[in-house]
Amino acid sequence: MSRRTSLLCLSGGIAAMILVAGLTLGWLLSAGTLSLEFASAGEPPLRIAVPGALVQAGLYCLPQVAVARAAQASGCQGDTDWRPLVGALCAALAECPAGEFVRVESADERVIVSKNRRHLLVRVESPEESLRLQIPLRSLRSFGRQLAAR
Amino acid sequence: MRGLVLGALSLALLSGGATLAGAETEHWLHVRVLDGEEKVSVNLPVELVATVIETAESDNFHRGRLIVEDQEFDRELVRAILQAAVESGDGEFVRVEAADGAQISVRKQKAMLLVDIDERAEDTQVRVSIPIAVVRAMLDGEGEALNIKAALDALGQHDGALVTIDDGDSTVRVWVDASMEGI
Repeated sequence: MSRRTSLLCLSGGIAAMILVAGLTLGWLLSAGTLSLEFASAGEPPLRIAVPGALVQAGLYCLPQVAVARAAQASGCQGDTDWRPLVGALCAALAECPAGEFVRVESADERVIVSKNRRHLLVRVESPEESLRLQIPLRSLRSFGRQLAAR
Repeated sequence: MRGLVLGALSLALLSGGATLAGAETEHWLHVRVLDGEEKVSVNLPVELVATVIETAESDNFHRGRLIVEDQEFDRELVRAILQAAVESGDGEFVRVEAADGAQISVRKQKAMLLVDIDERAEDTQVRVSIPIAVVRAMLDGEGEALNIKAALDALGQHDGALVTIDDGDSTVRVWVDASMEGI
């Protein structure tokens, strides 16, 4: 193999790797990033950011038994089929105008559910702990679709 | 030249009219609960609530309809009473005055059905105002079911207070308007 052919092969390989990496990155970022921040008094804050596409893939691979168990744990059990409802709620939340949907305030606690142009936001604040969950709307729509289909 | 100007004006008016007709205002359902130091505020697009309600399924709820199993519920009778109320003029239809001072009043004012309950002994006041179109929509369809989805759709065309409850310690307000914040 001549030096020129080797160089061509090497360039082609690098270009293919860049293309694959770009496509993977594009797929990972296409559904936005789901992020969770949890802070507890006296402890370092915990921050988790997961690409929405990975969560979708995880949901897809989740066994049916685990979905049923989660439904039971959340109190959505019995004869009522909650999945279409969750699917419709996710789709409707993704489509509806942005705003603050729910705010519950007591003397020392606050829960806020709101939506901006790109995310559904859930904030829970108390003197000891705070939690902030940010779900990309594109992912929310797909989560709903996936749950409704299972 | 004059024809051209008139033509341009007509076109502008027509396009303006079409834009106005196409612009749908989103209506929001607001709930405020004040109970001492606790405050609850809910603002949801009426369309979102209607969409979700349509999907909800249970033994007594199917496709946005609440199945009433009470044998005494006669929808045709309720519809006939409502029709009579619509056709009659504004005024008070029912007034109940209890021995403990409690008063219940049902009256019609324009296109609204108003129910006022005053329980003086418990210092509680309840004000309910429902557009007659919403009640009609609720009774729409066949069988012994209340069409909640249709009622919510009708509610989306309405602005104003629906329920106000005040018992001295806490207040509850439910209303619909076109603003997200609910002024």
